[in-house]
Amino acid sequence: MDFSFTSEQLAFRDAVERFGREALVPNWSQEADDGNIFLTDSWKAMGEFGILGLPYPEEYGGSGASAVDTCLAGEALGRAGVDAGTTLSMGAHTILCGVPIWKLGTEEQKRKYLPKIASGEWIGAFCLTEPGSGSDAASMTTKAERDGDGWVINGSKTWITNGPVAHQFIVTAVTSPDANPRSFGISTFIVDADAPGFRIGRKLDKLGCRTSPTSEIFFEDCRVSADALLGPQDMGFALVGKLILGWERTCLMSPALGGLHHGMATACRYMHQRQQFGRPLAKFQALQEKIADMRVAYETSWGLLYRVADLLDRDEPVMVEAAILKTYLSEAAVRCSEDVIQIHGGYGFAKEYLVERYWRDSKLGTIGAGTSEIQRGIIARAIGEF
Amino acid sequence: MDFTLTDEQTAFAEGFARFVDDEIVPRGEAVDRGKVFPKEGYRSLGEIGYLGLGMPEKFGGTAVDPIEHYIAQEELARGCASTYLSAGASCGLFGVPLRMFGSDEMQSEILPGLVRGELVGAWALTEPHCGSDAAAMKTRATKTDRGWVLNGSKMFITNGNCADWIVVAAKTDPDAGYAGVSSFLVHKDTPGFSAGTSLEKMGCRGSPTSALYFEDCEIPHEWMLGAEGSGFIQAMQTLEFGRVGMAAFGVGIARAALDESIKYAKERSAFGKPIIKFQPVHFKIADMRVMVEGAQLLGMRASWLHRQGKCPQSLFSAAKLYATESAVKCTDMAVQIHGGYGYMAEYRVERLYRDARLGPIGEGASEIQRRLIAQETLAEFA
Repeated sequence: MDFSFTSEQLAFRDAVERFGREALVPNWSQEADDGNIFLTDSWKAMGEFGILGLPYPEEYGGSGASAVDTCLAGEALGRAGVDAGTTLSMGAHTILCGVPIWKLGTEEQKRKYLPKIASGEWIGAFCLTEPGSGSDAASMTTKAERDGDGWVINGSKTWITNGPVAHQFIVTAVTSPDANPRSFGISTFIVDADAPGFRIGRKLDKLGCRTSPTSEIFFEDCRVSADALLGPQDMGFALVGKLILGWERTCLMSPALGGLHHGMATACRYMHQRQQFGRPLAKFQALQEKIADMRVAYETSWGLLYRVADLLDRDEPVMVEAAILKTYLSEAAVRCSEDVIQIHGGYGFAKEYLVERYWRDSKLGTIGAGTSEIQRGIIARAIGEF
Repeated sequence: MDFTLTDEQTAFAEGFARFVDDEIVPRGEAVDRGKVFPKEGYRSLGEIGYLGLGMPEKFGGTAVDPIEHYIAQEELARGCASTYLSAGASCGLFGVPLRMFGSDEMQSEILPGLVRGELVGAWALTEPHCGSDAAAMKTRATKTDRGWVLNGSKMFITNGNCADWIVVAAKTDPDAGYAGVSSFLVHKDTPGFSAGTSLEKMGCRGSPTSALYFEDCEIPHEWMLGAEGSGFIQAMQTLEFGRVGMAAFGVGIARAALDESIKYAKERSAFGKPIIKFQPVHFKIADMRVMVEGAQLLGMRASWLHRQGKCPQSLFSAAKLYATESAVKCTDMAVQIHGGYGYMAEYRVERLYRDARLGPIGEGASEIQRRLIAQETLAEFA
């Protein structure tokens, strides 16, 4: 075992944190948050900085970064105080859209999409959830039927991160309705936003991560060519689940680890500066205990997160470990951001200190990418089917 | 970065787990009920080399990798908390300061017997009126021509009345605060020393706890451990080991609670199906697993960093705090899953629940750990 980062890794984390603080944080505004507005300047800056294609091989425009380093970058952005809308859009793009193409795509698909994903030119999205199917994803009704050489897709998807701004969408659709289990009859397609019959629905208003636009997506006799199929027919969903969920539940959660760190640092600084009853808040033990609990949550999450990332880099199975990480970190992040508000008192409840945003942003963690309840089911079943 | 165990570590872990299952687990219930020092288990720990982990080879010890050391501790705590506690007080809280600060003479006299499991050690810091606030201790050591004379009393001393040797902290300069504390090696037969009867307690009942009394107890000069005035620093360094040890204590108990819960929830049926099928039951099992794994990683990381001299105080404390509080939560869930049977002494989880409760109190209460973590964190973000 080795629980340390190399000095290069630490320098990389510091560079990304500085980039986040200087090039991304200033782009956020209360107006953008209120208006659910995508931060185009931040997106361009991330593309130029080279952070949108980290894990892909260099020949496809990526950096060949390990999962550990990809998480390190995510953590660094969170530490810098980058809003979770920005990191969510990045995760949906780089991980949910890009990683399936990298892992399952043909050479042509990889050459067509990955360089433009890595540069940020083409924004990506991932379409799994439907109005009637969330946790029970295999019960989806969107279907794709053969049409000559190509496919015709019909149905609708919802809660699609980057929906309103994306260029290409990874779409799961039923291709063999009679398959048993159902998950072995679902294929994955890459659908471009200009495909005929593809329509982006209304932008959805939500509690947090508001600079990351979310929408419904409709497929009305949407025609795609044969080369839109990603991975083997009928097995796309199962493979995406197997290959991607580990990445999703770690890399997408890494900004939350950084966010927890940032919230803790913000609370500490406020406690030094704010005086009540003639002394700084930092002197009050009740508040000190909240800081201690945040630190414990950070250190515990740290181990759980980088363990999964390290296992991913070793091609080891991570299903259970990722579920453990996601359950713990997402719930710790909500708890800690609530304590950060409490420490700030009225200022925390008001918008000017931003800490209310941490709490709103953090809440997505327990819901997206498999709810806490789904994770607990996975963890329990690790002991064997029952 | 590497979160995997080497083949050697895996083999060590499996071998030690087998030893615990064969030698320690079967004695656990009797050890608890008998409320006496677990002699047989302790001897077998000497035989298998546990008591000599990290001790100098010339005194019978073995150099050990910090991960294996942690694994062994966690496995033993999983098997029997009482045995773990007594063994830890002996080769850890007593053995560690002896190894770190003792003269070669002291070590050669005591360590070989300690490592073999023939001698038992204890460490005495707490007093009736001061626990967390250790610097407020009143036990005095007064210098004479022949050595030192100890007067005072100690409280809640693990192995207190069954130890052959005890490291005792006492004030050599009552006006010097922390710098006025020194430590001494006291043999149980020293005139003026006596130990009280075993205190009745909630859990870890097979590990005897007692008060110690010093009435004009004379100690020769050469039995002062380390330099005069260094007792408090020694105690703090000993407690670094102690906190890693208590993290292993918590994780071990939590794992035992998890194992028992899984077994019971699969066997027990209600409303026509095994209770594990009910979400409130298997979600508890998931929560226990999350706590176990989170705490285990903290404990291993603290042990690993400790060996390199790089472990921040806040990480020692985080490991101890999270693991021991998780053990309380996990054993509570385990009792709940067992229902009425969980409340009965017949089932192991009743004992685990009582044993776990020591964790957030011993070797630095949770409140002390939180204070330490907060102080370090607040200083970091000034």
